[in-house]
This record gives sequence, structure tokens and C-alpha cells, in this order.
Amino acid sequence: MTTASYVAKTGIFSRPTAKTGLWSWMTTVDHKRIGLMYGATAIVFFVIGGVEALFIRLQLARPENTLVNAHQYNELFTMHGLTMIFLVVMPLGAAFFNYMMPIMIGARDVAFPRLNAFSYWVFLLGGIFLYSSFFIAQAPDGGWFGYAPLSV
Amino acid sequence: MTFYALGLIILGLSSTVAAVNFLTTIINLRAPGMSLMRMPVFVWMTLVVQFLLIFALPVITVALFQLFFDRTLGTNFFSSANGTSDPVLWQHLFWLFGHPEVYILILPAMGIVSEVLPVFARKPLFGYPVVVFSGIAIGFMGWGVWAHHMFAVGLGPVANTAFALSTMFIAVPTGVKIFNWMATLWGGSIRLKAPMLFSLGFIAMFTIGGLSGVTHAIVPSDYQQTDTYYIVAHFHYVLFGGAVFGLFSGIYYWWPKITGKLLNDTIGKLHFWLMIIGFNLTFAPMHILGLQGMVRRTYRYPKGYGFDFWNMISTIGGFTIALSLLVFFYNVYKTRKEGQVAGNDPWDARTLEWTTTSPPPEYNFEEIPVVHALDDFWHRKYVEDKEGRLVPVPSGAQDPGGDQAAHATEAHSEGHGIHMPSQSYMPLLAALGMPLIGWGLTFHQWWLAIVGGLVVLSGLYAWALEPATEE
Repeated sequence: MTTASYVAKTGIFSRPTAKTGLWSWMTTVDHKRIGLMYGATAIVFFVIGGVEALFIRLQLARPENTLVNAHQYNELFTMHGLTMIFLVVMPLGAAFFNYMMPIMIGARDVAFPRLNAFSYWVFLLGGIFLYSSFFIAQAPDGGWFGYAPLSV
Repeated sequence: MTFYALGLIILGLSSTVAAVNFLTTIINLRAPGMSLMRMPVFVWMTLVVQFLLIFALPVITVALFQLFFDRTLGTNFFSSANGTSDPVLWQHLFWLFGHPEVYILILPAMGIVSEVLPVFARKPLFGYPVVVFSGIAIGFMGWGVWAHHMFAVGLGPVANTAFALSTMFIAVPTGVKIFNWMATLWGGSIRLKAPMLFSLGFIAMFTIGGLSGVTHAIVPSDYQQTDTYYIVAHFHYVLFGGAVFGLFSGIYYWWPKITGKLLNDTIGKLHFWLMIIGFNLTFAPMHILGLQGMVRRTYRYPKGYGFDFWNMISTIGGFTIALSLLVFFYNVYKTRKEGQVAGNDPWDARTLEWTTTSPPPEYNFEEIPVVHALDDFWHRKYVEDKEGRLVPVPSGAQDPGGDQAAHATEAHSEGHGIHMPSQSYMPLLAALGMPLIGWGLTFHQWWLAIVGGLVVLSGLYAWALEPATEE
């Protein structure tokens, strides 16, 4: 069986073909690679959220501690909660959905491979966006549930 | 908090898109013979989670947009000077999303545990249909319990009673699952490998978290617990003791499939024991602190309230968890260098992913498998004799399609002839616009938001226009 008959350049753009290296990962639509990227990213955020938790515990280790002030503490527990929920547990779940679910049902890939890549990149950039708030000292500080009117 | 509103909207978009994708995949792309009631429980839980995501995320997205409008455009959905708005509305919207969200977090772990236990007990999952239907029941009932987060708000006795009852009811399908897992273990020949330890840890810790959850369902008791460390203890027992232990079970279980090498089991056990000891040191004292009245979300506490000792224990526990993670990372490093090669089926497992190579080829299967039963792969390997004992099927005799499969392997070696989707730049390009929109809206730099919007649009148009394949 040959593959040549599949080649059909009908659009105005060409598709990338890198099989190894950075570009192959940035342009991949393979559910297994996307699953791995979800998993790796989630583990990185797990470490970040874990360090935030350690700061919280260090602050609370002794009464009337002064390691962080009230505002920094609010940022720490808010970002710890947001990170662990939205950037660790959900994407780690998504990593397994991505990698394992298609294989477990005997499929070759997910239904919409490019959409799958899109959801990973939006997740990664959303996480970076959330964390960029730290650099300008505007990290969320109202708890992960952001109760009004504190959040408004 | 503008970062909060926009960041969660962006992350919600990602999850919504993924949910649509997985739903379509599970409904449409199952192999021949893979009927719904032959799907592995993990796939079932995936399906339930995607439904929860699709219905829950719009609720929070609406609320987050309203919050953003309140902050940026001066609307008065949740807060205003003259009291015409409703702060409790935010709580309702948030928890109407927030409660299904906690099931979104825990159900994947439940699915993983339901895969791991049968493999390491060498028995079929006890009551497969009941486990599946309890998962679905949790998915439905998860929508009717949100106000138990708001008992202390003052919704009135009728609402509080109704939500207290629904909260107690949702413990039933959860308890059913726990009993099914225990019955799966009963009489099995149990192998205590690292994935199994994490699954057993999941069951034990999640049960403790579930029981403290039932104490919140009793409204007068919840009045005492609201906003204390007792709540913090509870949700860490379900989300760390539950979800994280379940996910680590999955990591240890599927690592050989994903990388081709087995994580070191001894170091894995060390990781488990450090983690579960550290976990209990960290969060069990928070029950006591909470009942003593220590309040959440305060950055310090005075001397002489009796909080000192348990807080110190909790901090020591926190660092023990950190140490256990270092052990895990060392295990990954060591396995990468000198790990034992796994082979296709290192655990003698039951589901389809173990029929292909480790790691699987890009096309997953040379021949799309045909499924004849639940746990199909197991039935290809074992039959039962007259007394119900397992007898391995002699290799080569296993299925009449054996010759055909060997032939097919030859014809398809290295995947020639299997058409896989082509790579694309466009998903990344379209996604790059999202944070630009976010930064633009946060800093009122409208031009930046417009640029971001154009990037998203051009990514999507190019996506639609790019050719179908490239060879």
C-alpha cells in the first residue's frame, strides 16, 4: 500500500512535517504526545503549587510568624488553590484522558486532533497568563472561590 | 483578581474544547465490539467528567464575565455602593460550578483505581455495572448539592435541609464504589506493587475525607466547621488523599506503557510510604485545629490558643510530602538511565492498551482490535477450568485470527499505509492570542486585546484553510 495518493495540496498553507525536535512537539497533533505535554506541564505546576504550600506551612509553623505579610499570604493560598485545581489535577486527568483513553477504546487518535493540540496550548498559555500576575504584584488574593465583594 | 477572572475563562475554554473532543471520541471512535458496557471504567469516568465539564464550565464562565464587567466596566452584578446587587449570587454561580468541579477532579482518580485494583488483585472488578452507574449517579447528583458550601450564608431552614439531604444521598453512590473496590480485593491474589499501594492509599484516605464530608452535611455541625481548618482537612483528604494518590497510582501503573520502562518498585514504595505518612501528618492535625476553632485564611495566629503544637506537626508533614516528591523525581531519573524494560504487558493486565507495544506506535495499533467482551485482553490470555480456576491459554492457540494478525503485522510493519492526521502550526498560533487578549483587557490596553483577537482569528482561519495532509 502506498501513501503517495494521500498527498493533496489544496489550501494556501503547507503542513509541518518535523518528526523530531522542538518543532515536532510544537506542531504535534498526536494524542500521546499531547498527553505527555499535559502531564509534564502539570508536574511543573505541581512543584510550583507545592512550593507555595510549603511557604504557607512555614508561615504557620509558629504563632505570630513574620515570614510573609497578610497580603502575600492571601496571594499564596489563592494561587496554591488555583494551581492545584486548574493547573495540576485537571490537566493530570487530561493527560491520562489524552494518552490512555483512545488506546483503551481501540482508536488511533481522538476525534479532532488539531483541537486537542489547541486545548493543550490554551491550557499552557492560560497557566502562564495566571502566573504572569506575580511579576507585576497583582496575583489573585481573594481565595480560589473569589467571593464577592472581595473579588470585585 | 482580574487575572483570576480572565485566567479562569481561558483555562475553561481549554477544558471545554477538550471535553467536546473526548466526548466525540468516546461516542464515535470505539473499536468494533467495544459497546458502552464493555468500556473500561476509566473510560466511563472520562465520559462522565466530560459531561460535567461541558455543563459546569458555562456557569462559571458567565459568572467570571460578570465579575470582569464589575471590575472593569463598572457594572453591578455582585457589588455596588447602593446595595442593588447580590454578593450571594456569585456564591450560587460559583458553587453550581464548583461542586461538579470537585467530581471532575475525583472521578478520573476513581477510574484509575478501578483499573488498577482488578489487575493487581487478579480478579475482575466487582460489580462493574454498579461501579459505572454509581459514577453516572454521582455525575447527576453532583448538580444538586452546591448550597452545602453555603449553609452559613443564611439561605433559610428549607434550603439548608434540602441540600443537607441531597448531600447525604450523594454519599451513597460513593460508598457503593468503595464497597465494590473492597469486594474486588476480597479473595484476590493481591500483588502489592507501587501502583496498588497508591490505589489502596486512595481508598483509605478518600474514605476518611468522605466521612468528614458527611459531617459537613449536618447543618448545625457545619455551622461550627465553616471557615475553620476542619474544612481544609476535609478537602485535602479528598483532593490530595483522593485525587493525587489516584493520579500517582496511574502514573506508576501506566509509566511502563508510556515510556517502555518500569519505574523502580522499591523506590516507588518508599515514595508511597513517605507520601502517605507526610500527608497524614500534614492534614490529620488540621481536623483538631479546626475543631479547636482555628480559622482558615489567616496569615498568623496568636500564642496561647493551643494551636502551636499541631501547626508545627503539620508543617513537618508538609516537608515530608516534599521529600517524597524528591524521591519520585529521583525514581524517574534513575528509571530513565537504568530502568527495567517493560515489554507490552508487564502487569498481566486486562485492557486494550496493554496489547500494543510500549511505548505505542504513533498509530497505536497495527490492526484495530475487535472486542468480544469486557476485559477482552484478559479473556484472550486466560480461560477458566471447571472449578473456576484460571488457566492460561497456550500461546499461538489463542484466537483463530492469529495467523491473520501475524500476516497483518508483516503487511503493516512500521505503519506504512496507516493514515494519521498531519501536524499543524495553527493550534499553537490560535492559542497564542489568548494571553494577549487577557493582558490587553487587564491593563486596559485595548489595542493589545484587539491584536490578540486578530491572532486568534487568523489562527482559526488558517486552520480551516490549511491542506488536509502533507507527506
